[in-house]
Amino acid sequence: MRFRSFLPVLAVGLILALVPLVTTSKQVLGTFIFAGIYAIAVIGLALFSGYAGQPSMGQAGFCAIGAYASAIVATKFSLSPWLGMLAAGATSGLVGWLIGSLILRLSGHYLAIGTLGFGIIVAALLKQWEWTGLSSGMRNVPRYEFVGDVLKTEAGYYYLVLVVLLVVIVLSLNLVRSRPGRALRALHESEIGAEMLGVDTATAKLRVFVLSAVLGGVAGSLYAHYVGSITPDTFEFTISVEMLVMAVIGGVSSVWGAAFGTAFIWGLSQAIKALPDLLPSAVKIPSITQFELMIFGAILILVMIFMPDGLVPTMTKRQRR
Amino acid sequence: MLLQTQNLTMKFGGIMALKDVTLGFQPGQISAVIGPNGAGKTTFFNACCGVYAPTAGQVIFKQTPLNGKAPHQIAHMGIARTWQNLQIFPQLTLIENVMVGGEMRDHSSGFVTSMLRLPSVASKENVAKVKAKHWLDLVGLGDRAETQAGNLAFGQQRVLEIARAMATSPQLLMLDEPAAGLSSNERDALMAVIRRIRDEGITVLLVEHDMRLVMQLADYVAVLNYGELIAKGPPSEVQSNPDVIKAYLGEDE
Amino acid sequence: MDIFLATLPQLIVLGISLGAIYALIALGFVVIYSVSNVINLAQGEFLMIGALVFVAVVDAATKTTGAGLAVLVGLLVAIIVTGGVGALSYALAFRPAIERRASVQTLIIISMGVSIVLRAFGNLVWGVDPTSTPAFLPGRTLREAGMTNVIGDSLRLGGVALQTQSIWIIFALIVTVTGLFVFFNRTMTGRALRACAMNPDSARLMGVPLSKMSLIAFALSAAIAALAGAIIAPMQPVLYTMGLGLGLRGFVSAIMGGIANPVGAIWGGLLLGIIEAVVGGLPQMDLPGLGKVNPASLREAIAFVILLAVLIIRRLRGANGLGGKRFGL
Ligand SMILES: Nc1ncnc2c1ncn2[C@@H]1O[C@H](COP(=O)(O)OP(=O)(O)O)[C@@H](O)[C@H]1O
Ligand SMILES: [Mg+2]
Repeated sequence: MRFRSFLPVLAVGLILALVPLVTTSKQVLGTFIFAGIYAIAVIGLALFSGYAGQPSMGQAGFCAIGAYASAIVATKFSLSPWLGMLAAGATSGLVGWLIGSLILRLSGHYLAIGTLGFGIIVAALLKQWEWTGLSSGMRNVPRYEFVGDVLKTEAGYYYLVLVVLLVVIVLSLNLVRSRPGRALRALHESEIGAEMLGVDTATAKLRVFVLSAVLGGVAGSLYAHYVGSITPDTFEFTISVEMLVMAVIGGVSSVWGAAFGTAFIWGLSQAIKALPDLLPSAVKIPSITQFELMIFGAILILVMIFMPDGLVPTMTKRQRR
Repeated sequence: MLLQTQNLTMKFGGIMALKDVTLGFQPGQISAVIGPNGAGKTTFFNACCGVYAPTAGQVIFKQTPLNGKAPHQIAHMGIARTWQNLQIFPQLTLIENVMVGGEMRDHSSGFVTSMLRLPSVASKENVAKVKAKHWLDLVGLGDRAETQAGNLAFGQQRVLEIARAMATSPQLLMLDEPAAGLSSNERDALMAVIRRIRDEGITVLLVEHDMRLVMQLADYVAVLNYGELIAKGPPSEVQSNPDVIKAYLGEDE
Repeated sequence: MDIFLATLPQLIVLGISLGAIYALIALGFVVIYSVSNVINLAQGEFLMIGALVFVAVVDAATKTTGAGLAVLVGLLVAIIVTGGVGALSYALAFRPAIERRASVQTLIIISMGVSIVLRAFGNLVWGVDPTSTPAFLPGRTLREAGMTNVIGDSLRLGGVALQTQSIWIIFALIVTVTGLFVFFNRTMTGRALRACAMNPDSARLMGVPLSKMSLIAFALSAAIAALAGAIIAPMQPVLYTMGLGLGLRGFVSAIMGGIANPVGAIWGGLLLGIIEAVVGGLPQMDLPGLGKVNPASLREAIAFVILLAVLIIRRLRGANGLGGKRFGL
């Protein structure tokens, strides 16, 4: 019974495990790796914004804290990058707890703005920190070590990210299907209703906020050790917005929706990048990235108008009927 | 006395929603707070269970003052309630709605244990499910356990709230206009449910507009008018109190 | 520190002109929020479009009409075009969502979508190179008119230098506020808008078309933003990214003032401008853990620290106020 509910995870995991066997293209694998890293942070965000219904526009701030913590451990202290990942989760979680204790008193619009402000403050402070290289950030962040140089290959790193992602999905599904998850969904719909049934809503919100911060931190660590260099601009507030979009487009109250939304946005931007090759050469597009952004924005608006619950819930609802 | 209020006062800006209300409710009885619309009945409930911090006065439950306590703490002490304006969780199924209440006293299924899905979590969950089903059956919604609560009719949502509140195993159940919007069949069923709850030893305090229902059910009645307590006592006594008659005649009902 | 104190009056003057711009942007937020309950994060992009259109028109018109008239024509075109962009954004992106009863979160995301589209549009049409225009009232003109206390484009008043453009900014703020006051109090349309802001339900019952009023609110806000954009065009690089920072600051000002309160928005803007200018003028500091820090580059973070402090304090006060409610019921 329980096993059956994890069949989809197994199936998705197996299919994705085949990718490095089909292609060794650094570019293709790199795209998958980035998408996977994003998905981890976005699932964290979905637990907070989707299940608990608390908008957050500061997830990239936690990714930044995780990435920097991990890079500092690995470069400044020359410790194992694995310890870096641990430090990433712990530091992000701790900051999440401190910040959360303050700003979770806010709700709705104001919480969205408060978290946005948090992300902007993090990026601004990192730019001022001499030790971490000011605006030019940190370089030469080593890869994690595992059985020699396995994780220094693209395929090796791909499997690392895949494993972390699947673990995160399983843990998140477990959470949302049990008592704390029910409490979060309940307080999403009626905070006072949940309180009066004995749910300590403030603590529940704080815990899931810390959890989403930890996941953001782990994603940040995976990013830093993959790319090898990070700057404050890597984690601009537009990235937070992009993550919220991914969570919302997939269907914000769904772990699968978050993963799916991430894949969808990544696929979309790849498709738009490939678009100029498909167009007749007479049609000139002056700037691919801006053109990409424009289509991205337009699709975002359309999805929000016609499927405000996101793609996954909208589709499952259709099915049910 | 199970629940007492002493000089309970609640001001909203210029409005005195409650003025020096001193009341006590005996354990094991069905008591009612009545009064015309806007008399302060819902405010009385809200001030008793921590939704509002009273402007003055206190609420005492089982000899413990409730001042400064949050609703979830008050719930843990043994007060459960329903809402006049309904606070169900529409996207959750009925059984999930009730399970939220039932899991109140489960302290072992925290974030981490749940994420790892330790064996204890799964067994606790099954227990919670069985209990929740019991309460749904009691109020006659057992066959719709897997429906989303938002799809229920209004009257059924009211009854769902009672099941949900009972799942927290309270000592005191507070019902805010439980019969509002119910058909007369549903109302009779409701009265049976409330009596059964009382017979299980749970104290019931209800706010109700429907005088007939109150007179049939309640052992003790308190009357509010413009935030002031104007009468209290057994239903028959209160019914013939001239102040009460005046307050009610002011309304066309 | 002494140098800092000596420059304080100068910093405050600078802050006021900065703050007046924030106040203009904040007013746009307030107008849209109070009429249609949308937090429009694309307000900064309206400003950007306004500034770019303004610069383009001034560039084109200066040769034929002379500088003075070119500025007027530029302002007019920028305001009309941007007002149109605002109305169009509402009609294409917001109205369909509102008609489908979109949630607050959905509407915020839509406004982000609009700002992404407008920013990309600004880049595609105007490229990545910053442009600018000369001051409306160049210092040279004043010197030629015989004024002696003019250095560059600034007037010297006592020990304080005042950019001529700052005078225009303050002037624009005063004109806008007066204009809005007259519009909201003396015209039928303005009164209908106010009715929507105060009580949408009864406004609808009285036959005020809410959707049309929202359209007007968006056009009006975009027009105000365009005015702000045109006025600061001579003071900072004009390009497609300029809306981001300015929009956020306008937004912070609006929130500081209480989001639906126009007078509060003006105070919020001025206060934020002054704080930013004063912080920017602080000498370099040695902060524990951060090393040497140039406060000027912390301005952005400080705007948000203030914002967070304001939000949280207001929330705490609300929660503990006399008889206040603890939960939004
Ligand atoms: N949150 C609130 N803010 C301001 N006034 C309130 C609030 N809640 C109740 N009131 C006022 O208090 C009075 C009593 O209301 P209520 O307790 O709901 O009456 P009842 O439940 O007896 O119909 C009414 O005048 C109502 O307008
Ligand atoms: Mg009531």
